[in-house]
Amino acid sequence: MQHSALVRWLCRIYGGLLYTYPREFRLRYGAEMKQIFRDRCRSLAETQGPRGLLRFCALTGADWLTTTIREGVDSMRVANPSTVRFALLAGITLSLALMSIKIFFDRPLLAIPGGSAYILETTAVLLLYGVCIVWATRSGGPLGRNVLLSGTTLGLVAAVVEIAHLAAEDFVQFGPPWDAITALTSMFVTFLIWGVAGYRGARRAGAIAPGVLAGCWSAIVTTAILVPFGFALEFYWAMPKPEYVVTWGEFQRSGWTDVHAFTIANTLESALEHMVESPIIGAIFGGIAGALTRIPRKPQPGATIAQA
Amino acid sequence: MAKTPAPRDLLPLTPPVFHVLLALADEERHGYGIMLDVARQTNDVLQLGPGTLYGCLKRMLAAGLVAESDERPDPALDDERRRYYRMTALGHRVVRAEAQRLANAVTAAKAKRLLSPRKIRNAAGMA
Repeated sequence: MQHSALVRWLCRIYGGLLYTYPREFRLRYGAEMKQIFRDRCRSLAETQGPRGLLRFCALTGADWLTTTIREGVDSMRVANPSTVRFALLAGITLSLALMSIKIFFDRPLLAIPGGSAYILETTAVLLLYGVCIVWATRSGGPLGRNVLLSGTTLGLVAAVVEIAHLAAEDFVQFGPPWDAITALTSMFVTFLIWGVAGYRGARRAGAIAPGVLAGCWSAIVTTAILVPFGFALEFYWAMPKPEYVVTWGEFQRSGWTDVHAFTIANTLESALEHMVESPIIGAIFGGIAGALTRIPRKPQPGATIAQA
Repeated sequence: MAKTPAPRDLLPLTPPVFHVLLALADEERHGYGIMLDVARQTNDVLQLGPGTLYGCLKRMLAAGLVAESDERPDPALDDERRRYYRMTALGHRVVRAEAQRLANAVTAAKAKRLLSPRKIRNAAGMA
């Protein structure tokens, strides 16, 4: 057969390119895609020669570029509960690791009486988060697949908002009154997003309770992502300078003398507050938004005409 | 239990999806067969690459427009690794609705004197 070596090489290259598709898609369709690529190449090599092959390869190259992106985006959208579980548990593990490393190599907090309580409380709540994540993402879990995935997506969006705010707080000095305005805006947007998760959950299920759960779940997702980022930022990348910490009212009121230990304890306490309060706020906003779905809508004037 | 969507909820179809359904309207086909039939239908104007074809088939399988066929038209002559696809009843209703929608669009275009029979023939490559 003419050009068989060329066809063989092209098939090898295409076989390599298939690895850029999401794994699930590649396993399901990769062999068929390779087979039709080979069939088409052989056919064109016989009927049109190298020019036809080249044209087909250019078409396939453009096709590969567009569809590999599309399938990649698609695979993220249709993430399954086990992927969500894995990602969130990875976030919890990372939080525990970042906290442990900081405390192990930098021990002033352990030397303070009562300092270990901060560590134990934060660890216990992180572990509780892990249990909740496993419980919610298990097969036949309380949320249902669609509510779980849409709540996860909205929780991710809220996490991006919160991370942007946290980073801005540390790296960009807005100054008063913009600091307060950005903090309130990010808080409002985050609560609103959790409310949207609740609204969608309640509307899909036709009841308020799933909305409460969806709002709560969305808040858990946000916090599970935000906490490791916060630890990385506050413990390693941008730990507040001691001369800045001593100006804080909280430090002055605390009676602590070790600024470094106070900074670590303050970060742990902040994480703990977020972890405890977020699911409650998410549940409240999810419930309120869920209740909105129960308000009967006035019939639209056009609806009667259309029905008639 | 999931509710079957109404055909009009799935319209308009993208050109690749419409032509893949057209390819499956008369018989079950494997991927390469669909690719060749779409090229033939459109006079090579629409040439589906493997990624587009299987991306479409994935979404069409999920939407219930097509299904994998268990039967092989001619097992002795065909590669047994090939998967064959067939159109479902929903796929049939959807492709009919889309064809009707396109026919209405053509009628509207004709009424506005945007199309003449000669132009239609040229566009279809039949002149």
